[in-house]
Amino acid sequence: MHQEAIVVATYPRDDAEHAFERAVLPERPRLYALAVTITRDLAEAEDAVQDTMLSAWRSWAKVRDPNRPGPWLTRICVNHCLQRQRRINRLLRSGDTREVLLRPPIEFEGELLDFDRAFAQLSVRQRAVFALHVHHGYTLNECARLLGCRPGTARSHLGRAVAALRREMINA
Amino acid sequence: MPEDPLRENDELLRVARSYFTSLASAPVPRSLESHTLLPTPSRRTSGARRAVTSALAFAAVAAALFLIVFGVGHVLVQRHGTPATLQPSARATATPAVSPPPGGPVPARLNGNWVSPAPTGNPDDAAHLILQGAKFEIQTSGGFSFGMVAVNGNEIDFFNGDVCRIPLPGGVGRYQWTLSGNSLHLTPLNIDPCGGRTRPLANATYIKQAS
Repeated sequence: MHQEAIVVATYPRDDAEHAFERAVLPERPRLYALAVTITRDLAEAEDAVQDTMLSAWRSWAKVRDPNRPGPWLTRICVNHCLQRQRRINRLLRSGDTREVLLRPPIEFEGELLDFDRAFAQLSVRQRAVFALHVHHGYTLNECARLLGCRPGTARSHLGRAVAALRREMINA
Repeated sequence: MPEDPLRENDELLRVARSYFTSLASAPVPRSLESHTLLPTPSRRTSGARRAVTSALAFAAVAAALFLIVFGVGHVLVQRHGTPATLQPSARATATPAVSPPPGGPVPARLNGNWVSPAPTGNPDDAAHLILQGAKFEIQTSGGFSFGMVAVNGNEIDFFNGDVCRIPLPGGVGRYQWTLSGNSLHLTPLNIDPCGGRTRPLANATYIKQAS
């Protein structure tokens, strides 16, 4: 038998682990959909969710409402998306593009391709606010809380994102 | 209340919603579907690291291998009638001599979270090493991995890593550990077969984080 099977099977599981599995693991598909729309990259989104799980596990003892971890997880996930994008930006600035996949995750066509190109040019915070607000239905105040900024800043991000998208879509 | 620059009948809104729906329809990776506590990252940066994450899957694969080997062996024995030459190989594959490196779980002074600051000083690039009992976990800006450790005197061996997945007796990275105050230094004693571990571990100095 593979050794890791033994490792996992005999690993002592306490109540915290069970509670974590019950409450947090089912959130992963939702977080993945969230991360995909912010990062536009399937692998980055998957990694962001994995990082979210790790962070969540480390902070599990401190969570306020273990039965409703959704908002808490969403905030962690958004932060990891931003962090990962900052790392990619650093690599791009340094000219090291070996680890950066510069292509859209899905082959778009027509106006969706135009939109993808325009969306890719936004800053990650602009993308995050736009995706959270337009697709995931968060209000701008909620977006601000998720990004850890003021509501006015979130509005500013959204306004600039919308202006840039309109401009790029017209020029496309 | 912040003002929303988008209106419900906005053309941009229509395209954006269609775009996000397409994006979000991407299938959820298997690693995010399975119910395992420690997730298996798929790191594009470090090559193919799509791994089976559940113990059940491992057990199923091992059982399937056992059945295949045993079944083929049995068929060959029946066909040729020379079991003496076939039995050893079948037995060797089915029950490999796997023994972990000598040693025990990490001593109390090594238990805990350790961080190795990045040369750039950027906290995002710092490496984290978590030692807990007989388990390790490494987190870097490029991803994280986990596996088992055994400590024997001043030697700490990392094995059963989830990334390289080399079964014992292979896949053992041997390091010498020295502790000086809150500072843990790791010196490689062999060429770690899991190359991805070398960068965060070899000749690295970690600082104990307050728990």
